Amino acid sequence: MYYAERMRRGVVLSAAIVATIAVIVGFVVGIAGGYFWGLSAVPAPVTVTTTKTVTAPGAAKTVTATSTVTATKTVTAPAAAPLAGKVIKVGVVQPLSGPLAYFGESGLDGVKFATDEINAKGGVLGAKIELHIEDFGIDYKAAAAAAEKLITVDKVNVVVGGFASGAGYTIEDVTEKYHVPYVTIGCSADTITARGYHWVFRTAPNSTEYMLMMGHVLSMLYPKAKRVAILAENSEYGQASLRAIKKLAPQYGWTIVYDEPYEKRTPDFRPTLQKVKATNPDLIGLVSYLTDAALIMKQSKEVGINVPISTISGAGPQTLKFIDLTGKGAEGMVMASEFWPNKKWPYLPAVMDISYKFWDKYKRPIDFQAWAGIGVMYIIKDAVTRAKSLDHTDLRNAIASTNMFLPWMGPILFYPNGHAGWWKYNLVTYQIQKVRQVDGIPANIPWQSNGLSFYAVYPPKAAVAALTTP
Amino acid sequence: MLSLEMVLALLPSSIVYGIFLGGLYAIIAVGLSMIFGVMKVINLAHGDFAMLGMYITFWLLTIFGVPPLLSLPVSFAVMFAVGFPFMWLVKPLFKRPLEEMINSSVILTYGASLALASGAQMIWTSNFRRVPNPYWGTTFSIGGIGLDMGYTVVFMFAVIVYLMLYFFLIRTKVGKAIRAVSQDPDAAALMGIDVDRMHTLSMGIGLGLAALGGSLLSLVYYLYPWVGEQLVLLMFIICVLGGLGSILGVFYGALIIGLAESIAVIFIPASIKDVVAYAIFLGILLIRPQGLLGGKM
Amino acid sequence: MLDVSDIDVFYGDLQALWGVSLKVEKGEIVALVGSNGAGKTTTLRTISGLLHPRSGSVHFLDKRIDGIPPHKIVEEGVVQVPEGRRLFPQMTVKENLELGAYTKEAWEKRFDTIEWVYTLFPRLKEREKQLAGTMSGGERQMLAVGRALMSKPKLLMLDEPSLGLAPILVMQVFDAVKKIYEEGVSILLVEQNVQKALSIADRGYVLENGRIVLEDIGEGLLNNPHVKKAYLGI
Ligand SMILES: Nc1ncnc2c1ncn2[C@@H]1O[C@H](COP(=O)(O)OP(=O)(O)O)[C@@H](O)[C@H]1O
Ligand SMILES: [Mg+2]
Repeated sequence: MYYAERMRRGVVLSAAIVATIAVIVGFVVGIAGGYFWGLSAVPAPVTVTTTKTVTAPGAAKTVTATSTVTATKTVTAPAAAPLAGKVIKVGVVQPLSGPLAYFGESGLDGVKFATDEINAKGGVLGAKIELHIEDFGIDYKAAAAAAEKLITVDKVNVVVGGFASGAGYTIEDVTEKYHVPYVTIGCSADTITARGYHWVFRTAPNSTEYMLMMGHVLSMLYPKAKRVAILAENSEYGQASLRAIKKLAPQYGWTIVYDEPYEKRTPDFRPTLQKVKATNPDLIGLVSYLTDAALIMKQSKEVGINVPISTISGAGPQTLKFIDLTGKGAEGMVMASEFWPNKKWPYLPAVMDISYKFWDKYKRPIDFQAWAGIGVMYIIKDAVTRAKSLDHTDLRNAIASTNMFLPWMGPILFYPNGHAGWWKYNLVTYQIQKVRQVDGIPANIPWQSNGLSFYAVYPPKAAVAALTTP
Repeated sequence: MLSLEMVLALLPSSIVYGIFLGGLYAIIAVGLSMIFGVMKVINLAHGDFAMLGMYITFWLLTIFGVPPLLSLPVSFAVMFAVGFPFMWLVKPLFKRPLEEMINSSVILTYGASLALASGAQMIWTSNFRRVPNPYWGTTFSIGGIGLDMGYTVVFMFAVIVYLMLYFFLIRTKVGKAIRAVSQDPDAAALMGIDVDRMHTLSMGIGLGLAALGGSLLSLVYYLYPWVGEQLVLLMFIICVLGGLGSILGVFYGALIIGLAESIAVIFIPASIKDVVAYAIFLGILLIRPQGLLGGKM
Repeated sequence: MLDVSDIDVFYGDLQALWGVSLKVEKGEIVALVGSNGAGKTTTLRTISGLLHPRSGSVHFLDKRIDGIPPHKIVEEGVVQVPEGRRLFPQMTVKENLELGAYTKEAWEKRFDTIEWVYTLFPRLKEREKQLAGTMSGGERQMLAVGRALMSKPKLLMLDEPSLGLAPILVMQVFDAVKKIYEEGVSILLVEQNVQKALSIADRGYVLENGRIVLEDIGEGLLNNPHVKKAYLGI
């Protein structure tokens, strides 16, 4: 029997494998196409197109916007539900593939979690929320293209998402052009809301806010530190944070002795760390993505760095995953974060409730991105309720005048430039400490790893544990 | 700019780190070069097979408690077997003219790469994971150079596997046949060599080496579904630098890139160290378009 | 021994051979001559299994061999020295010879065979460790022939062995072919050097534009007026 004939027997097996790959590809294409399976079971909508002239606030000119709303024939509108039968189309632009997918999915899960909750309670004024999901990987131009598609093809009422500041920039350019409200998930570079744009709202703290908090805590923790080295990744986010740090450094008596940006996601940081070591710092601050931060922590020991290293601002170190990846070595690290359940807070039971529900649904701990995703959807719900309209301008104005309270974020209101107005008062510093029973927080919390979790240590009104020098 | 004294102080350890990193790069990249050398297929899914190797190591440890180093042969064997169906995927390309075939192989394997990475994300989620191992974070120092057990073990195994591969290709009958096919497939067929079989074998070995390299990488790096995408460009540069198809060339290419990245950081910000790699790449290609050891397998 | 019967061969849609038939009996040297582009190489590639006839058949020792892969045909005992030598340039002379003995049977006898080849071409032994790609034209042709002999063929096919060689080397090559023939190997010799080829051949075929136009004993063809006019310039 010839080899070729023997190989032919492999065809069945190969065909099966090729078919599997085809199914996977199909699935991926399906997701990329923006069809969200769980919500596709709504009755066939009747599309009504209305054109009306609105005035964009701030823009001293009249623009024409076409808004498309969908209605179903079957629903009869009760008087109390002025939007009954309508659909609130929310475009979600997140990194759902590639190295940022971990947090992109987390934010998306938060959005889905809140959407399910809101829809289960009858939607907003009778209107159900429908998600249109787009993935941009790590390509920020693709984020802009996705936003453009959501606005022009899917005709969404509002765009949310971003995660990376770089993506936030390109998305806000598009939403500004089309006059569509955009609420970010993440995107902490100060400049996102400093460009004079009217249609962007940021729910995350900005770099300066992180930095003010961390600078204060670090100077309490390491009062003798004078020479500070900053390792910041070479992204919009990393460099925006670095600028904020440099501006504030004199306030803490710091001299920045090293500030060279580094390439993200390198397997070997040791040569860089050696150079940092050679500048003789008293303290090393990281502005790093999750995995980079964990790897730098580990490799700094290898090159013999024995001065304290701390995250100063971070896209990820404030999550349990960081403890997973760093292991016991993470104990004692401090980081400012939007959110962790382990803090002193009047509404803690409500927060715990959501944390456990999220755990049950997704089988993993809720993190800052998921919280942001949930928050964003409740902000939109509130805005639609007050606007009683799905029109872009009405929605934008309603979001701008938000004045509500979310138990896990605090009082919600935006500065005129669109930046979140609450972090200045509600940002909390947590320290990674051994899991134990503290003030209203049980020891058997699921959000722990390697016997460690995050405990609020600053400011005193939120602290459940004392700040301890590692 | 650092003083000369400082540079001299940093240089020895930078060289050591560079060599270690080069060894790791070499073992992941060599399969890519081999597959191109024998079949003229540019395998853009190569990094994703390394990713699968990382997951094999991770799951063997997590589910069955298999120590990571013992999973190396398993990684190799599993992906070697995957080489057979993967071969069926690329085989239709061989009927086309060479240039067209190289181009279509890029498109086809890019598709395979996306499918593998998205498939991995679907099955294992986008979660970052770590393979807990005794070498992780264990440090020692020789002559003032801080070293890490992880990279040291990885480098040792990379060298051992490399030597085995080299011996296999130079000394064994099948190894010689594979080299013959890479140099002239028609002539090889006229010697009585089953070219199809050598193709499949090289595909298996190439993918197996990618996975083995991934398993080694998992001792010092995190795994997530898209890690392959992160690897493949550098691997490709290393292979072209060394001369696509050349096994020794890949080793030199990897060492050069590893050293360049490590040493460059002394002089320039780490964010542009890849630029140095690209510059060396372009420089060498200008002088030797075929790469360092182009065409020598 | 070899029986090519009425084969049509195509490159894509382009037909290169029209109903070509030829025979090589045991103990014969048969020449296949024709000008450039006549289809000689195509004929040999088809016999070796690198190309497949669209119709017609190829039998060797009463076994049908068209449609089976090239390496199986080598195992049957049909080996060719391809046009342009096609050595493995990055391998040593010795490695090239070893690869010639790739088939299972030949591999076991490779140490004896290599001595035989070295007695035929002593030059190869001197150059054992040299890379094939670095040798001179004549040496390369010796190596190509030696490599083919390593498989202990029953039928050796040579595609233009004298191409690009200086006259003195051409002489050497034809001497070597005769020696191999005397060792009991049947030979199918493809040549543009019609005079030389026909003078050592028992029989010959003339191929023109993909068709066999003449067939005769060597001497007969040398005296054929058409051959004289078209190929010998007389
Ligand atoms: N690979 C190929 N593709 C298409 N046509 C070819 C190919 N090889 C040869 N031919 C054509 O087939 C014919 C016979 O060529 P060939 O067998 O090489 O002739 P010869 O060896 O007698 O010089 C020629 O017309 C040539 O152009
Ligand atoms: Mg020819």
